[in-house]
Amino acid sequence: MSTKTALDFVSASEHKAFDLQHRKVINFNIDRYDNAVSNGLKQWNNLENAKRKAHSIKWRVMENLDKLLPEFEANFQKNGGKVIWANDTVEAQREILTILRRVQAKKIVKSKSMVTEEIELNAFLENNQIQSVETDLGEYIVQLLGQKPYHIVTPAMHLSLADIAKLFHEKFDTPENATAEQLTLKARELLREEYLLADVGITGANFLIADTGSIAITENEGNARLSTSFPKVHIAIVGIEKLIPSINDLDLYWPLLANHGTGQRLTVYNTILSGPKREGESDGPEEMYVILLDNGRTDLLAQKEQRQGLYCIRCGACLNACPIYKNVGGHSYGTTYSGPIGSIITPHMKGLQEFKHLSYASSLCGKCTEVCPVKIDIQKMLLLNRRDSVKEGFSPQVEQWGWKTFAKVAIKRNWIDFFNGKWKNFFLKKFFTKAWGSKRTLPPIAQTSFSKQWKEQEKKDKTY
Amino acid sequence: MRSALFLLFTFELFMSSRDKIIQAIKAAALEEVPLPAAVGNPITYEDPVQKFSDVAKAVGTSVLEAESHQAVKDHLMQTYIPEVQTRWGLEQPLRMVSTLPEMEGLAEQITDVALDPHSLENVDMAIMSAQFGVAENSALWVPETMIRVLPFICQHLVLLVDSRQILNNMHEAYEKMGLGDDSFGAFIAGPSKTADIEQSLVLGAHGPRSLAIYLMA
Ligand code: SF4
Repeated sequence: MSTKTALDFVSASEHKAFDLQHRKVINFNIDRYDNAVSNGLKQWNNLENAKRKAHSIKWRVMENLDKLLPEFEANFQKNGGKVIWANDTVEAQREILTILRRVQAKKIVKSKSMVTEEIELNAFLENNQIQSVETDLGEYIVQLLGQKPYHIVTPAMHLSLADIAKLFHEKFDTPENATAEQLTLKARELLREEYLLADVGITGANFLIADTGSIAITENEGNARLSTSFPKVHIAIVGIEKLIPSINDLDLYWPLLANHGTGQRLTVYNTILSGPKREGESDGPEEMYVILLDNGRTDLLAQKEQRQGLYCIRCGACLNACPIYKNVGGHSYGTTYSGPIGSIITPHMKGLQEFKHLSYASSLCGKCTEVCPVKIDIQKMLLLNRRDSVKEGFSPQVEQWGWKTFAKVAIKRNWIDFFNGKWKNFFLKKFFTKAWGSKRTLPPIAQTSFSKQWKEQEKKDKTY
Repeated sequence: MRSALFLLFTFELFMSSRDKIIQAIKAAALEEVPLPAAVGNPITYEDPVQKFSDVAKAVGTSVLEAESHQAVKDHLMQTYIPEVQTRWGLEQPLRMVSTLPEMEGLAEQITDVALDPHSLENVDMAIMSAQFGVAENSALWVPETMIRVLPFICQHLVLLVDSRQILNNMHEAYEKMGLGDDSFGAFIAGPSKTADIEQSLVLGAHGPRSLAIYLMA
């Protein structure tokens, strides 16, 4: 009953977990992240309160989405922007293509956006002979390699300086042992050309602001601003859950996102874009579109107990905290959103049957829940997904029999003592090896049960 | 019954994506919930200007003080510009651009709305003013007036801010901004940077490579 996706996940993660070079790079990068974050969090005098408020604002947003989305729409239109609604990937792709065809776009620049990954925009545009260039440095690097982002905040986290220097050496003839500064400078030069030439800029947004009808974009590099200023058209594609009620709420979300994403007090550029170029302005896009994307989000919203998965602000903290993520790496998940948050939302957005295995990609250590700036109870969501997948009969047949028998036997003392160690070992191997993984050996069960050993020990003690 | 179902079906067919999404949201059985309570008092500082300048320096910004626009101009010419030239190995005279009329003579003035933003591609230094600054994170609010791309395309950015306009925290900042025309623009906190390569910080990613702030007395 295991789907191909699940089997791919198991084999990819088994492979990665034993890839020592991978582990070294990730641990090094996440260590640096951890240091920065522990510093950044010092700016709050009551972090717990801030997180609680961030949670409750998002809660209110989800419960009022039917009113807030039209409010955003009306206000953004008032500012001269256009709003497009898209149910799924196909619709979103089609709408984007229609705009690009109308303005006869040949080249577009993109700034980092997970939603465009979700709708596989780059591949789609390529099939339609439109060149799309990623401008965020990390994204640019993974695009050059023909890979997908490894991490929702740090797309090239899995690569070492040496890997990137080698790539740039081959592509652009930079020195073989170039420093991070030299590589960044090279990318800067190359990409500046692209902003100037592009016909359309495509971005995501970190927040949709209902009361002003604006989008908020957070970045360090400046590429999003350049991508939205030069081209004559700007398209922002945004999940409907990115809404916040008021521009005033940014005082909470911006610092939270910065602290948890990179450990900064505030990201370098926090931009509010409220529409196309206005009278009296000399630049900015002539047309600005916001595409509101559903793509499974209303399915998650329909799950009352699980809808808090939509509160996520994509800071990446739960990925960095997750022992599973650190071992199997972002690519093994085979999903746009990896790590704990990906594991809880993907089964709802893309189907429980195919992605329920992700609910088990967790040790339930609870670190993710602890670090989340919007206090999503990630652990609980994972358990709820497990419950649902078992309820709907999606767990493998053999394992279901296994667990049932195990439960019967394990709760009865005399049953446990009835089988000797050999039988028990046979039983475990038979039913659980797959779940346990081929690279681990199941620890053997003692020949005599603990209670028997205890009794024998007591007898011995008495004889002294 | 049959025809009712059929009607429903055809209705679905003709529903726009917007209606479908709104319907799906409504069908998700939302609850009525009240507004969340305030988060408690944000941090305030004894000396916000001092705090502002400490935080700014920590993220790689140069912080300078000046009495007047003339003083800024003099300092730029005599000290800051030569410093930038030495630091970044720039021998040729810099192309300077400003939106401030007071910088006339030192920098090209941007007054013409019909200006082609592409012509700003090779600006070395831009001088602009910020409306206010925020002590807790050294962010400066630069409203969008006339030219959006200038503070991002220039190689080096200089921002002037009135030191009486240094607020404590983001909370005060949003109170000040209100909901007017001011909601166009950006908070800028430092020179552009990236840590995408092995998390090591490099200043000057795509935007300006340096930022200098003049606190105006
Ligand atoms: S679930 Fe929480 S910790 Fe994880 S990315 Fe989303 S906001 Fe960050």
